[in-house]
Amino acid sequence: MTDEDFLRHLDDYGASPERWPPELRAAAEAALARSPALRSALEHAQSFDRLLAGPALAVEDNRVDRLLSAVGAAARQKPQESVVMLLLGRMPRRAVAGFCVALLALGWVTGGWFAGHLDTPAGTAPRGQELALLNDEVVTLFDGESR
Amino acid sequence: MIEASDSDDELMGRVAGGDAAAFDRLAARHMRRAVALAQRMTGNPSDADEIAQEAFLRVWQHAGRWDGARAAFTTWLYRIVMNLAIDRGRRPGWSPLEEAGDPPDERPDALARIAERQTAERVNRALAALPDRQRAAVVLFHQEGLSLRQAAEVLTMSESAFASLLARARATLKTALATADIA
Repeated sequence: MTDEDFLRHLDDYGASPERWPPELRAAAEAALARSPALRSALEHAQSFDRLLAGPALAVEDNRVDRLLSAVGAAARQKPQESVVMLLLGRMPRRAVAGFCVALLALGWVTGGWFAGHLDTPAGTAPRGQELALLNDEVVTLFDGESR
Repeated sequence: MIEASDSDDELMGRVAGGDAAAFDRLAARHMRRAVALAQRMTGNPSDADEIAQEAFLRVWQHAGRWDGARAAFTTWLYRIVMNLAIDRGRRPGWSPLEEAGDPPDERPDALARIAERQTAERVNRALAALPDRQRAAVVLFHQEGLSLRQAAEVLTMSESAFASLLARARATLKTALATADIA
């Protein structure tokens, strides 16, 4: 690792080479060991990292207790997710969409199959009666009233 | 029977089965860090409280979805907190320093303390101005002390993508704080 590389990684990942990507760590340590200038740059970068880390954030015990009490009570009022939703929730959204489409297609196909195999009033009508309805010679009955 | 030594995985198994006592135990173990993470993201204690509560309610409701083979419980919890904080869409803005906590080095020199508070205020503002995911990267890596890999898992991205995000955030902050003359 050149000095330039080290300084670039120092900018990118901060002043703790042990937290850099694993493949860079050994080379970073070697670069630090050989170069006083890099050690000085590291010290300077440490002050920037301390700024980013910020002050310690204290969360008081009574605040935590209040939150635990509230969330414990709320959880006991809320039902957990159903088994069906759990199964769907584990699936990727595309898989869920595909599953729904497959269900619809299955319903359409089985619906068509049942329509073709089950007796219905239309299906049981005599063949001749169907033809009569389509024949041009259908007689329209006069209702007896004349003008 | 719940033991203090029960692992998060064991407790989550029971929570998924509807065990409210196991949920209490799990919440007690992780609530403080969840609140702190939410507050670092939002800069606002009342928002942080709401986010932490909502996050644990989601843990309760969706416990069956958690898969210990894919992510540690804390990674999953942090992801929920982060998503809620980002969804809230509020910038931290200026965070009252009394609420953010005093700097650890409490010297009697009043001027020095004022200067430190002003510096912390500038850093908060610079963080608040970052895009959400860049701010999340700084919070997870520099403030929560997560590794690159852990932080990447929380944000559901590759380690290299997270490293790139972190580098962009650091560059932006360095420029902003250099302008403010404190970096």
